[in-house]
Amino acid sequence: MEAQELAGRVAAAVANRGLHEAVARSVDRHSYAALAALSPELRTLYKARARAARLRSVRDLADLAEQFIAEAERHGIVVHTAADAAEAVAIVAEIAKRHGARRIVKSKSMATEEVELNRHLAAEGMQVLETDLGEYIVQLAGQKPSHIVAPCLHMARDEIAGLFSREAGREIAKDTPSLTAFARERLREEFRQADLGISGGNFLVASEGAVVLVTNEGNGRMCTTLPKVHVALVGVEKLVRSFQDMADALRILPVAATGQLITSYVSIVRGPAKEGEEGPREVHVVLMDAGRSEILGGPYEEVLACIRCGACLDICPVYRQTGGHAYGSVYSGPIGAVLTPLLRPDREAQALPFLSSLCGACSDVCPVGIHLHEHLVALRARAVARGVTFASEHTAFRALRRAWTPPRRYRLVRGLMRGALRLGGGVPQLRAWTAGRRLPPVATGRVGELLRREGLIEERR
Amino acid sequence: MRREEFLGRLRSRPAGSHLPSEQTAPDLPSPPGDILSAFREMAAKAGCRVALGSFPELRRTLMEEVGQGSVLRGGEEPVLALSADLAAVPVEEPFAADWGVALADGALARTGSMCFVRRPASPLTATLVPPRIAVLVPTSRIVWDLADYLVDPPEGGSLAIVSGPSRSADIENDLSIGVHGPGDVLVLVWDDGDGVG
Repeated sequence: MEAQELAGRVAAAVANRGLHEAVARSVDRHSYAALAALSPELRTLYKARARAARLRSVRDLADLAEQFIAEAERHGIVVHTAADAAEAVAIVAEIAKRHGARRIVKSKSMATEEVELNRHLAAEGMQVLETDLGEYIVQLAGQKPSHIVAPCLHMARDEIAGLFSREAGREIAKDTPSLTAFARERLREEFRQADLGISGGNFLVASEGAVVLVTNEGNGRMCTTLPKVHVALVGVEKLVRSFQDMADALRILPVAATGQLITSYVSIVRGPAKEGEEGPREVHVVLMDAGRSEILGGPYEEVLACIRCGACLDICPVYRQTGGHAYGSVYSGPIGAVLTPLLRPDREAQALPFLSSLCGACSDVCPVGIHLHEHLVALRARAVARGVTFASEHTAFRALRRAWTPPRRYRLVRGLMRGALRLGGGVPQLRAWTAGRRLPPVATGRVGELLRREGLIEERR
Repeated sequence: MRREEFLGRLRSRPAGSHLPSEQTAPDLPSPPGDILSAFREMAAKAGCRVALGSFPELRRTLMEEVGQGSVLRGGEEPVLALSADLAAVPVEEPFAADWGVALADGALARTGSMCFVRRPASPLTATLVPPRIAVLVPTSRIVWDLADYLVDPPEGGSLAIVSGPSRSADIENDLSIGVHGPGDVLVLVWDDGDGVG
């Protein structure tokens, strides 16, 4: 894909006022709630501890992976290692086939989105049902999640009611209790009958061999408790050293995501059920690399500390105007604009760092202190070095070069621009931007004349 | 990919070479003196209904709440005693229950959370599947933070930390309670005479 396609999607999103309203409604609520949840002192303290815990994980990733495998297997978890997306998908498909799984319930997971697990399993004849309410809605709509934490924040209730009514074969009222009740009843039946549950993982605790899931609805617990087989597909960067490091990261994750001190549910999966216990008889963890090891030890390795809270999306002025789909990536917003070009080699992915105002708000708000705006600048330079630029940018700079290279033509263009600015017309293509802004009055003198008068440059010949 | 190759790839990278050197993280502030009050306050903030009392008082409260409804319960002695007069459903049929009744293995005052460990006598479904749950929280099991609870991880299988009812704001940011898990959480704080924490 080319960067021009990205520009087209962005233009369409920017023109969509309904989208702006829907996105603003959600991201503002998240941001204000996050701000109100903690005192500035506690926020600073929790952030420092979470950052320390996460950076420790990145430094020790290989050791932690080895320790996790040993501890998890000691508790009866089967651990698989996948080099890339294709391997990860093949491992999950093989487990599902071995158990004759036809009905699969799944809780929200960005890693499974990254490898397009649902599409691959559907091609094998398996029915995979998303059970997080937001994910269920976007699945019914045939879309992708547009936010890490709130997958359907771009959708209005009218659209959701239409989808549910179509699914139910009857009219479902538009009020939230009616919509939620329909999803609850529909999905409860699936939980009862599912052969296999799939999840991601917010953390993998190396010292305990445990998978930690952080959810609010309860579907994550359902997926990891009710089916006889549970498979967790998790990026290797989610490792943390110990329960104490996990607690340090968990203290800030829900605050940054939704302004909660803790989510309704934290599930800590420590192995399959033993004799006399309810729960899955088999638990599998697929540890996925898929580009993470390439980032490790490089200039962007700090990004591996990300805890996927979505706070940088909520604060980003670009995301606010475009929503998540315009990025064309599973990961959107500032973290997506950094992570995606590191995980995907295509030209469109390399252009994503340009979707930023470089205001630095993302770095300020990041609960683990990732210097996102600095990585965005560096990745822009890398993209330009790789020849990824926009055609409109090329044209503009070519025109400027032509206009300004001969001094006489430069002076002519300068005079025309001064005249246009005095008349107040501005550049027609920029009217949408200039409408709400007042330009300073055009100076009567010119910099060149001033400098000559002061003897700082020679008289024009 | 073979495990050795997977780990070898990670080991071949100079991990941490672009990170600042490790610094000591600042200490957490001391917990407040009265963590029982803190627990009650934070559990209520998380959306739970909280009752404090002696065992007989809590038993009466539960009887009044459940009435003729059926319960899915754990097999621990305090839970059986608390719900002795209530109609129980078999553990294999969690979806048939109106209420779940469980004993918390621990409770976290900072967040108003309750901790459950999967054991033969403690089905995690009791706090997950029924639409309403009642949780017995002995005051002696209340600690400040999750980190305190996990200093010496409890024996048993998987853990669930529950903080209030199931919730979602996926539809236009409108809060909805009881999406998949229970929509009503009744916390029965039992002064078991062993102090707090």
